[in-house]
Amino acid sequence: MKELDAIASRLHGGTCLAELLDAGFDAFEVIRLVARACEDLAPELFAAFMTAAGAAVEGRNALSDAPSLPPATGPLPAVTVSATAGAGQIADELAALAALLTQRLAKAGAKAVGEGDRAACQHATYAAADIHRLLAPGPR
Amino acid sequence: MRPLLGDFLAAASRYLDAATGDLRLATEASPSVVGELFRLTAVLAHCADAFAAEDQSNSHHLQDVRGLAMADARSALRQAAARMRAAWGAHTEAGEDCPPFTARCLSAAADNLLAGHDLLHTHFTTDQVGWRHGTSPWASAIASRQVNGALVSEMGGYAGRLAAWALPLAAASSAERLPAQARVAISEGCQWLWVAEAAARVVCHHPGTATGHALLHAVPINLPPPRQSPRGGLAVAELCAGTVLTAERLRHLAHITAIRGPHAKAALAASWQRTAQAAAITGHCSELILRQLTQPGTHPPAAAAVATGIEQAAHAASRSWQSWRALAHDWDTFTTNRGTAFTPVAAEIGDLTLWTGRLAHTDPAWTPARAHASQLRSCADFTGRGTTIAAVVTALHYTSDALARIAAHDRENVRSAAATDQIYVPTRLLPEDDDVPYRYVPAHPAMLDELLATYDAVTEAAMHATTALDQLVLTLSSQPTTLITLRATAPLTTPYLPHSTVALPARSVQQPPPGQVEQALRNRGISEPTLLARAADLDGATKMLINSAASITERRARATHKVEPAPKGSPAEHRHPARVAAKDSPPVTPSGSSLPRLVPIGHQLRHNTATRRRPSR
Repeated sequence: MKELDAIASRLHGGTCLAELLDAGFDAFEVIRLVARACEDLAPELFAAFMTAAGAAVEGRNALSDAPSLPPATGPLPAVTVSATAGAGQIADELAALAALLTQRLAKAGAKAVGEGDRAACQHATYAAADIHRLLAPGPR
Repeated sequence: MRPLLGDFLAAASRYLDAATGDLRLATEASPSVVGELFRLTAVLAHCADAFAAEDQSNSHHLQDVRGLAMADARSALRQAAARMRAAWGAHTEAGEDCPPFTARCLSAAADNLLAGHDLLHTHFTTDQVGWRHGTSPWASAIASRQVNGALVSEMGGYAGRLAAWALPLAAASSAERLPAQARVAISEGCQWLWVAEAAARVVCHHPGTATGHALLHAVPINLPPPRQSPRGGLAVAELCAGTVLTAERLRHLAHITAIRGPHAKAALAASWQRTAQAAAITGHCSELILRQLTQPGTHPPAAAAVATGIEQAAHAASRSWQSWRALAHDWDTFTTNRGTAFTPVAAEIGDLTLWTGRLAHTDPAWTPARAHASQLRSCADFTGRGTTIAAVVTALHYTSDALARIAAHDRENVRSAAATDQIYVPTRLLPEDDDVPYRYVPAHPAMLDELLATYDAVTEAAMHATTALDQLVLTLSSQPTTLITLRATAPLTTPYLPHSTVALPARSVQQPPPGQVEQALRNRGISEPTLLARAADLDGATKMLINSAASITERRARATHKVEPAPKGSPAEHRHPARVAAKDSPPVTPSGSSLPRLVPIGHQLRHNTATRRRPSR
């Protein structure tokens, strides 16, 4: 999905804490939107998408408390889930984004100077790791 | 296992049988036997009176036969206790060092009844003026007329068995061991015990009493069942049992949280969203299970009613979980204080998701994670190896009931948070043209209205799903389950009862000190048991009057300083001591009233620290 690619690029490209927090906030919001849109795609993945969306809300709200989070500059992210996309494939993509998010937030948290930023990053890292755990395929 | 009232009643009955089984033992009228006879009779009166919602001195307002019979039984037990007390008072010998078998059995019966009484009282707490407030989902049932009727008829039954045994004590053959006054008092006491039994029989014949008996024996101690997280590889029967226990625990936790209010450090929005999300997944699993049970060929043609019931329940479950899901979606936008812990329900509701998820799926280690997505169980899985469809449906019924109660309690808590501006929206989620220099803004009233409307829909759908399962369980089982009886008997309200007034003798059998009227008679050399019993009644009534007046005075003194909350529509609105006191007060203008305003619990103002964020830089 191109929205996921775009947000992944922003996460990769973020050079300062503020940029990364901004991208992280939007990444959680994109994950939430996509997961919500996919809840009905496959009954066996309903619980996974549902809980992943909840974790995305927790991560997003955690970053809202980071003192270094800049005010929003652009429009809210919007996503379109293709009717032909399979639930498994979307889950794979979300899991990959969540893994990247976990990695970037963990690094940012370790480097953050302010206690508020560190705590926000840590909380958001846990949420991103949860999303990855929920959506990653199991050993088959 | 939590102890049940039925355990104590059964033990009391066994001891009573042991004591009264041999009528020849009744002639062993030792001081300790008479003492324990008095104590047991007093305990019977105490238990029968324990949850009387009606004012005992005002029984004329009771309308129906059952109500009058209950009042008669209680009154007769009190009279019997007064006579037995007089008999004991007339006994001049000291107690034996080693009481006979009969006395020990009577004592054990009384102990078990008292333990049962204490178990019932764990479901209530007493406020400063003596009113008892329900603190558990069982409290309404305990205070209900059906269960009260069952309690009275149970005590009346014991009274009849005791009377038949105790009467020989009053016979001439025991004259050498008992003074005449004591024998007369015992004889009168036995007559009152029979009156109590006769009145209790009238109560027992009322249609609702059988239901009440079933509930009475099933009342557990007011503790949640211990937390149980599912292990892997459990059989369906074990999964059903675990689901029931976890649902019961959550129902208990929801009730406790509703009464005490959320912890100040609870992360409310996160908790409410987590609850909605888990409820949606749990409901989804419930629907999947029910759909599996409706597979063609599952039920014989004669069981068409069962198939229809399952279909209706599945449809209702679907509606319910979808409304929960809508609620979880709503919480995507809102937030509250950033607490450090989940509410008790939110912290544990994931257990219920796991139990129902593992009941629905073949993976013994099922979790919501994609890695554990698995096939659904077939209908044959639900009916083999000692499991029945009824057990599975009963587990879903408990689940649905717990979720319905959680929805109702959460709705009130959210309403309260909304009324006090504790619900916010992150400004980043607002449209671009909303230029707000804060990270969060209070949620717009229209948004809150929508949120509360979703809660209303969730509550209604959850209750509908539970009702559909009520019907299905009744179709599948000849006997209603405890939950069905409980739901039919106890409304979702918190009962308020006046304090209990029957004095109970101390455990060690010592001569009770006479009251002033009784002492005055004794000082004049009057030892007629009937007169002494009347004097004791007068002393008791005087004490009650003084206590009541003192509590009203105390209440008035406090009224100007404190606001007492009471749920809207609760009996407290009419029977609260402040209201009672108001009847004695001259009318005053509202502004000059010294009485507290009774605030519905859902509208109490909470003054938690506001979580307004600093402006972003």
